[in-house]
Order: sequence, then C-alpha cells, then structure tokens
Amino acid sequence: MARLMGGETDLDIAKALAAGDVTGLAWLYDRYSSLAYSVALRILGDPGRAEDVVQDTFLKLWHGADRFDAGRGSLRTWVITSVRNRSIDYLRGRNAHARKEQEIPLEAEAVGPGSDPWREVAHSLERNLILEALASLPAEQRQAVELAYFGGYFHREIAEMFQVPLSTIKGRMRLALEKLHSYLRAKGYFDGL
Amino acid sequence: MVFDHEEVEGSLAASLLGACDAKETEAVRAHLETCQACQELEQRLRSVVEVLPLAAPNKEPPPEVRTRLLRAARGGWLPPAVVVQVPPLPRRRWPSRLAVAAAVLLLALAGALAWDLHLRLESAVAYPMSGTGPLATASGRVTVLPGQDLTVVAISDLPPPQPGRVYQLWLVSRSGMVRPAAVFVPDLEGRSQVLVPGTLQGVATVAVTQEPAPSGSRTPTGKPELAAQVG
Ligand SMILES: [Zn+2]
Repeated sequence: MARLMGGETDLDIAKALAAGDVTGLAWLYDRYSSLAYSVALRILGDPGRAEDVVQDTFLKLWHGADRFDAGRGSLRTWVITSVRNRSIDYLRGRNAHARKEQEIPLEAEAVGPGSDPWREVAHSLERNLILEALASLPAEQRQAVELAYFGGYFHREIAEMFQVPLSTIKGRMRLALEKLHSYLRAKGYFDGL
Repeated sequence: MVFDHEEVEGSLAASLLGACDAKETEAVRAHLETCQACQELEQRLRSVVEVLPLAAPNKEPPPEVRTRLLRAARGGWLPPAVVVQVPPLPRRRWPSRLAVAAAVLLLALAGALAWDLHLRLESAVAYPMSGTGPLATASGRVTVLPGQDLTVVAISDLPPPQPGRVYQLWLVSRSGMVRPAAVFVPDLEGRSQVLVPGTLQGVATVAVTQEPAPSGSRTPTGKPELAAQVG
C-alpha cells in the first residue's frame, strides 16, 4: 500500500528499475520529471525540445537502468545530470550555430510571480538558497558558471566572449564553485546530504 | 594529453561544469585516480555542481510526456489494463481540523515532554531546516523518532509572527500534496518545539508559513519561509 501512496524510497525505485519493472520508471518519472523538465527548459529555452529531451533521457535511463549505482550518488543527481548532459548535447550538436545568436539569461532568475507556490514548494526553498548563493557571486564568476553549465559553452568560447585568457575563465569557475560551496555549507545545506 | 597536479587543479572546475573538451576531461580524470588532494577538491566542487540544476525555474512537463514515455518503455504497445498510474496521495488521508487541533495540543505538551526527548534522540534521523526572506536568520532541525512514531521540529532564532498571524507547519508529499501539521508561535527567545505524530513517510518537505491567527489555514496562503528537505 505504501508504494501506491508515493512512499517508495529511491532504493525501491532503483530496485524496480534494475528488475525491469516499468512501475519503477513511472515512480522515477513522477518524482523527478518536473525537475528534469525545468533543467531542460532552462538550457534549451523551448518547451517542445525540452519535452523531447526529458522523454529521451528517462527512456535512456530506463534502458540502462543497471548503471545507476546508489553508492555513487542519489537518483536525483543521476536524473538531472543525465538530462543536463543530454540537453547540452542537443545544444552543441544540432543547434550549435543558432546558439551563438541566442540570448543567454545571465541573471539569476527569481521564482516567477503568480505561480502556485505549493506546486513548487518541494524545491522552492532549496532553489531559493541556490539562487541566493549564485547571486552572491561577482557577476563575472556567475556568468562563467552559467554559460558553461546552462549555456553549454566550452571554456575557450567563454574566454573569447569576454576577451580574457583561458586561465582567467578557469580561475573564475574554480573560485565560483569554491564560494558557492562555502556559502551553502555555512547555511547548513550539506548537513543533511 | 598528460596533466600535472597544478594543471588539474586549474581545470577541475571547468571540467565538472562540462566546459572542457574530451581530451582535457580525460586528462583530469586520469590524474584524479592518482592524487588524493585533487580527489578531495573534486568531491567538494562536484557537490556544488550537482545542485546547480536546482536553480532552474520550476516547470511541469505536459502529461502526454508521461504517457508517451511509458508507452515507449513498453516497446511501443501498452495494453490499457496495465497502464501504470501512481495515484497522488488521497486527500482524505490528510488530517482534518481535528488533527490540527490535536497537533496544537501536542505543542502545549511539548515543553513538558522536552525533558525526556533528548534521551530518545539517539536512534533518530535529523534534517536541517533553513530559512529565507524574513526568516533568513532562523534555523531548525526536523528529527524523526521511529521508535516513538513521532517527529520533532525544533526551531530557533524565529522572529515573532506578524500581527494577527501565527506560524503554521506543513508537510508536503513527494507528489506535491500539502497538509497542515501544527500551528505555533515562538517563545520570547525565538524558540519553538513542535511535535508531529508519525514518521514523515512519503513526505518530501517540511515547511513553515505565516497564516491567520489563531488557527491557521486549511491550505497555505503564504510563501514557505523556512523548510527542510526530508525525503
Ligand atoms: Zn592533484
């Protein structure tokens, strides 16, 4: 009964997936599809493409489900890393040229007004904290991180954009991640992980 | 391409952000296998990269995606009798006002019980709570006591609620259903200890909003200002 009421654990899901039980895929999708779709949409900026990437990602995870290793990370990380990489492959492949002209949002986005906060609540606090952490970075560091992670740009491309040496961009990325880590750790974010 | 320690230190963040080409990524990976200092750095930076996607604005995919996915997973054909549907938590399971009242009563007992709770905390599982906005300075801890079938939410540095408001604690299921758990106000030192019956099974988030005094709301009207991820 607990399984029908959304009480299944990540381990239950992983076991069902590994056993080839499609119920496991349904659980996985129900728990992580909105996060996956949010990430794909943030990267691709196009609902239709984001839907395709989400479907492909989950299908690929389903077919290679045995590769999930609970010892190496959470199911959530597995899903969002996959969807991020697949979205970036899509950007870099079919769309690599058009991407140059696309406007990349550089500012941390606030939670949209008028949305139902309770639809989002499961992630909104966590998201707000991460947005706060990003907002605390100097602009050039935040831009380096966002252009790479969400924009799919290589470090060389970012160095060209800003007309600075490659080592400067690498340094900004390193500093940014270190600062984000300190910020989140000071807020106790990693305590429960 | 072979990288020395300093080069890897320089490239690691870019590599984790997916900004290096395949050769550089491989050179970083190869060095990591042999260098403990770089492994530690990698672990620290990776923990940040893994949560970056959570910064994306929250959007729901249309329901057809689920149907298409499950059909494709079934090999393109899905007999109607085995369509997999995971129903959301049924509403009737959420406590009524009576249960809210009971939780408030429990709250009144909290002080009396607090003295022996610390004895029971050893087998407990705890999750940190963090605040944003007006409650940015507040912090708390959600402790599940499986043996007692009870959950304790302890909050400190909580400012008094706005006039005419109380704090209300909510449990949010993984499918996004929200149910009220308790209404409370902090003591003069900004502390509150709230007892919630049960062990949070199926709950993803414990959140606090400000709601109209004295008895709160049936569904939240304010924004969550303090929360813990618990599942
Ligand atoms: Zn090294």
